[in-house]
Amino acid sequence: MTIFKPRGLSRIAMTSVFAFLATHAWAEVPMLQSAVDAGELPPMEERLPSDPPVVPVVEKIGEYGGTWRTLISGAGEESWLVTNIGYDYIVRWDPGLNEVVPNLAESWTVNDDATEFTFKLVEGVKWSDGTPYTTADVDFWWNHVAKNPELPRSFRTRSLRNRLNSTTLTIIDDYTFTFTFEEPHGLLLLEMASPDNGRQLSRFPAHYMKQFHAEFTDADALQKMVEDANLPSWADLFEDRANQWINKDLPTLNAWTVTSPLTDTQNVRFERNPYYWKVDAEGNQLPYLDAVNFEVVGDKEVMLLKVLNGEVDMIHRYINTFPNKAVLADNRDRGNYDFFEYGTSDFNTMVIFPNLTTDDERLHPIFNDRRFREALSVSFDRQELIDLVFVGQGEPYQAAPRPESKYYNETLAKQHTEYDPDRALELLAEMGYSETDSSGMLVNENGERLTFVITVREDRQPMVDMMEIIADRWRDIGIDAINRVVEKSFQREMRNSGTHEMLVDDGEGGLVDGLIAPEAWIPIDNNSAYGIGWFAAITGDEDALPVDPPAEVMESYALFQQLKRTGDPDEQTQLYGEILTRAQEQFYTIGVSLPVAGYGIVKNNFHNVPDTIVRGWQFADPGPVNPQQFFKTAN
Amino acid sequence: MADASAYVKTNAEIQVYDDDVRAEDVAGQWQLMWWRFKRHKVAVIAGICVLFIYLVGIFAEFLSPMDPNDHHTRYTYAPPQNVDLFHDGQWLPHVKGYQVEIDQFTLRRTFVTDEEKIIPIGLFVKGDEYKMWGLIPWDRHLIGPLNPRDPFYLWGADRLGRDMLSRVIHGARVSMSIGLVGVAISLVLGIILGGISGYFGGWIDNAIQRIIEFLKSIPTIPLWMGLAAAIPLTWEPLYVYFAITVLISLIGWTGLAREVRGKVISMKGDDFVIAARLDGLRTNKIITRHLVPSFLSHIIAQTTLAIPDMILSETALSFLGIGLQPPIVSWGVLLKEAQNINAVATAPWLMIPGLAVVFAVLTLNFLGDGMRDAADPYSHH
Amino acid sequence: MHIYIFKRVLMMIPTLILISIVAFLVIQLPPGDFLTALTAGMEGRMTPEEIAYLRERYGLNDPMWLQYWKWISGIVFEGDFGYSFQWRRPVSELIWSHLGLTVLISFVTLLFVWAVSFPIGVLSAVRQYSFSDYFFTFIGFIGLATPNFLLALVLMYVGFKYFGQSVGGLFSPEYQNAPWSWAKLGDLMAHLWIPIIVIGTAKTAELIRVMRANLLDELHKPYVATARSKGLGEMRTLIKYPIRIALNPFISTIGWVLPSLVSGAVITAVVLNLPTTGPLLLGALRSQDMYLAGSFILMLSTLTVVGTLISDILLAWLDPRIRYQ
Repeated sequence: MTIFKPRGLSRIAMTSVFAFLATHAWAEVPMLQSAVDAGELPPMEERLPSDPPVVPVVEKIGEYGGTWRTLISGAGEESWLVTNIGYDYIVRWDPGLNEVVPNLAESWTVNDDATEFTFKLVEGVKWSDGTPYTTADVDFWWNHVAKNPELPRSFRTRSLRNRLNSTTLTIIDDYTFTFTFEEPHGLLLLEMASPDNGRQLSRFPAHYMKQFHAEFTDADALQKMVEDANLPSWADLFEDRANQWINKDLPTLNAWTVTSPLTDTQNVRFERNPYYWKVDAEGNQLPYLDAVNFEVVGDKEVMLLKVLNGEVDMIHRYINTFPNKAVLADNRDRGNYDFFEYGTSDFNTMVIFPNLTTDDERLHPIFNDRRFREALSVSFDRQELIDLVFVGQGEPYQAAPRPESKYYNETLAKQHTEYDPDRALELLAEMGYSETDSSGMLVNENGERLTFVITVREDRQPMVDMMEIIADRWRDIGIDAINRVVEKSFQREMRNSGTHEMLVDDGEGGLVDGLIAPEAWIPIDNNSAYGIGWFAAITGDEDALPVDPPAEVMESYALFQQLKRTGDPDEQTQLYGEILTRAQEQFYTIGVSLPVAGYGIVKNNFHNVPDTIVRGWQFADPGPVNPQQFFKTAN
Repeated sequence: MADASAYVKTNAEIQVYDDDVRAEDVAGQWQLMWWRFKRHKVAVIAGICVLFIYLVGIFAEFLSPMDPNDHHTRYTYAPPQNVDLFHDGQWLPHVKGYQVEIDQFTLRRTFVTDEEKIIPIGLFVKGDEYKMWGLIPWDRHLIGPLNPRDPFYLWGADRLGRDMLSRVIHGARVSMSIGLVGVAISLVLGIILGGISGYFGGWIDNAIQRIIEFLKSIPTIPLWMGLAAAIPLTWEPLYVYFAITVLISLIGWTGLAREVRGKVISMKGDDFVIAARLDGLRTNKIITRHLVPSFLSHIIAQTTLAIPDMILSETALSFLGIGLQPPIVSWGVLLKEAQNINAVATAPWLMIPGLAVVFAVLTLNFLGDGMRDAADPYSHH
Repeated sequence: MHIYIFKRVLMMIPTLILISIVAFLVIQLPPGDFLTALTAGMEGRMTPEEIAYLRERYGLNDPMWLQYWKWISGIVFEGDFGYSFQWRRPVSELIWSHLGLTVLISFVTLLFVWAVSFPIGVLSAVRQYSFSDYFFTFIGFIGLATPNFLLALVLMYVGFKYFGQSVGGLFSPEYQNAPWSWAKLGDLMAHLWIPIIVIGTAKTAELIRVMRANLLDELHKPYVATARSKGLGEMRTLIKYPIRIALNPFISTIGWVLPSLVSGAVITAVVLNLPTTGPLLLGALRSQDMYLAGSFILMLSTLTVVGTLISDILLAWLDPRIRYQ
């Protein structure tokens, strides 16, 4: 039995509770003072848990007040709020992204075969309206939200949706609950620390949401609410009311709650949650900042001008492109800002995915020939691309975990990255393409060329540039590659239906996040653009035509199932290593180069932003570095 | 009745003119137009400029110093060079080389003119090989460095070290021809439908007018976006080019059709048409022999004015991300690449295609205006 | 006259029906639907199961004619323009909230266009082929010749670099949610010049040309010569008749004014991040937010048709010859 005991600074030891009241640097949050004086709000001690979690500050204890001014591009950008505002799940990543640490759950125990997880919640945590957060909320979510067939599937979490009926939730007391699984669930904690799964458990305040739920509210009254809101059904109403980025009345557990919704076309604004349940080391209630304001700016150039003009306090999205660094560097003094490093968990600047499950009879055998993929890989000069597009930053790399990852596999990372067009010609000749036609293109004995279309996303300039040059190089040795630049959603549509021939996309999941999302090595997601048909066959997804996976793919898939069943990190690492070895043997996709760290922008009077933040959707950056402890000074 | 009275009236007018014979009255229609056109001096200059731009487009391969898609790792964002004609008092046309360093912090190349590095340039030099009009292989370029490996960027280089001058020149071919082809399509549609509409009148006229009204009332951007998305992905660039041209001309022809219709209606009652009809000529002959030539001049002017709209539409399509795509080089494609603050602030030479567009559109407009003024030789002297 | 109007209104009906169908088809043309665009735009993942659930709920699985019927019957019978998936709000509410500033910008721009093109048009007709004709026509055309998006970007950079302005939008951040005051009005004016120049200059050329051509036509008519020969001053001769008649084309601009009052200049508004309907429309098209996009197109088309009708009626009223053509 593994028992998680919090270490280090993440919690105040019990003994310090007596010192706690005395060490208040601030008796009250200035913004809330008048409400407290007027008796509308209890004082700070009563709002906080008796033993509140302590957030370590990056640099120093902060001051209260101020608004974090940042940007958002539109209503489709929910994920930007999820990561900036809403990263408070039952567990979370530590700031260094090494392990999963307590959050709303102060501790947990896991049995040896990873079938039983018991979580103990922090006592005294309150929703933003002052109602306590207890296991009743967890129960409401599991039994009435996740299990309700009419409500959106996303509420079930990806992690649990297939185990809906085989899983038991046991409520032990107000603060303790247990999940019991029939099958082991070795990745549960990692998944619960990541936004796709984790956020569902802590976003449904039972006391508020019940009024919109058919199982709890009289049908007529509910119907009237549905009609008043001009919505088709109660499920729509429920989803609408449960949206913490839109509904101002919804109690949340986040540091700031919404005051101007995501659907506003000018400003999306969040203000201090007076009941936020974390403190700094001196016992001051967090967050320091009174508000977060996302100005809605649809155009990236206007965004850039706003940053240049010093109108943004901290941002690491939209404007932090590689080419923009020059103009941002030139205006640092004027805008009074500086850079911080924005590391990445991406393992590649561009991955080329041949569709191995294509239904094109001519291309199918060609793409499935490993020699062909190797020939593609060695026939362009990666260093040339790195010099040209990334000013020499990075190194030739395949689709493989990053060097700093514990899963690093050098063979996988480096195989076939040498520029060797002769070797490519040799391989292609072996495949029967040894002659050339009148325009110098390689043909086989039937006079057929190696013709295929590569789809490139229009919104990624570096990819467009790189692919243009790579296709040139391929044509140089006689491969008739046709480049097509298309809109992103168009490319996605092709990919999800498996109708593409070859496409290029990001390489995501190069650190520990690759454990949750190993789609670069096993076809378990739409992102596995090399094996969409296999993915369809494995999961029964209807979008694409299922193609029976070959034995090697099924072996990898079986290994991954095995990995998910174990709770032992060492065994996980070992199994993951085996999956990677298979991926190296199969060599499904072709990578270009290892991405180097990017940058973000922070004003000189905006503090407690660490020197490095690591990017990765599964990490919900900047969530793990605790935006609650960011603060602003006058200068 | 009405026809007969018009006939009589015109006879009377001829009588009036007979009293006062001038050179203008006996000259042919084209001669009159030319005289009038010459009076509009700016239009004449504009005409020469337009001719120049088309010549540049036609001889793009020869005129551009490099292949417009050739990238050069060392010279990304290289600023424009100056041409000096003398070195140490000697006749030696040359540009200066660059000292290139990489700024590790901002991650850009910084360029300092290397005063020591003299790069002699010349006319009709050997350079990149190309096929003139895709047919005739050649390797001569109008201007370029004597050693083709030397950097030569009169208008600077873009983010991949491609020569802006060569790109603008090749862009002229695509953009200017899109204007021509698009106008040709509009013209055919406009003359046929407008002519039919005006000549036959009645329900045919009504139906065509409703179609035009309907097409004009649909906002262009949604229409473009919808139709552009329907262009098949696997089409060759040449087909895509034509598809885009058709797309652009979709909005152009309606105006032309209205113009044609109006002219036809006003001419239908004219005496020489009636005369032709009385002579027993068939309907289509009446249209082609008599109606079309008589307003051809007017249509040509109108057409000239439609070309710049097409050129601008092409840039707008590119801006929306639904126009031509690289490696095709058009002014719209180039402008899209320059449409960012980074270019404006740190590499303003990327905006040169914008100047090219302004130049082309302005000259075409002045030319068209001059031609239109000239097109109606008998009106307002 | 009444019969003329009646006939024209009657003819509008089939046009409008056709427009509504085409508006709906145009937004369906791109492959995929709102959910494709949504999942492409988001960072998190959606399982095929989740997507299927949403597709069902948004009614995207229905046959196209049914989707069309739901939409158009809502508009015709209930005045309900549908629901924006992207903004999760009723379409009409969304459009209304953007209309105020859009109309303001369009109106001010229109005044600017008239104020610039009218004098230039008159001058270039009266002083045909003179230096001032060339010079001012050149100025008038330069706005037409510059791609709007480029001009907008450059002006924005100029505003930032040399005037230290908070660019983009119509207000500085501190005034965005402030109540109206003189300071806010001043702030608005400081922002307004860029869109006015960009949108306005693109339209002046057209009006200058029309004004000039019409005035030239009038100036060569016998009655002008008569007036001159009677010794009437040049200025009075001009104002007395020719300019008045040449003003007719200004009336026909109402045809394009009405729809552009509502749509704003889409591309310019996108570049300048104006809080107008233009970016809303483009966003809806991009994300395939079909009811928002469709209703928008329908509104704009209807306004164009109505605008054309109004200008035709006005012209017919002013110039009886047209009525009987």
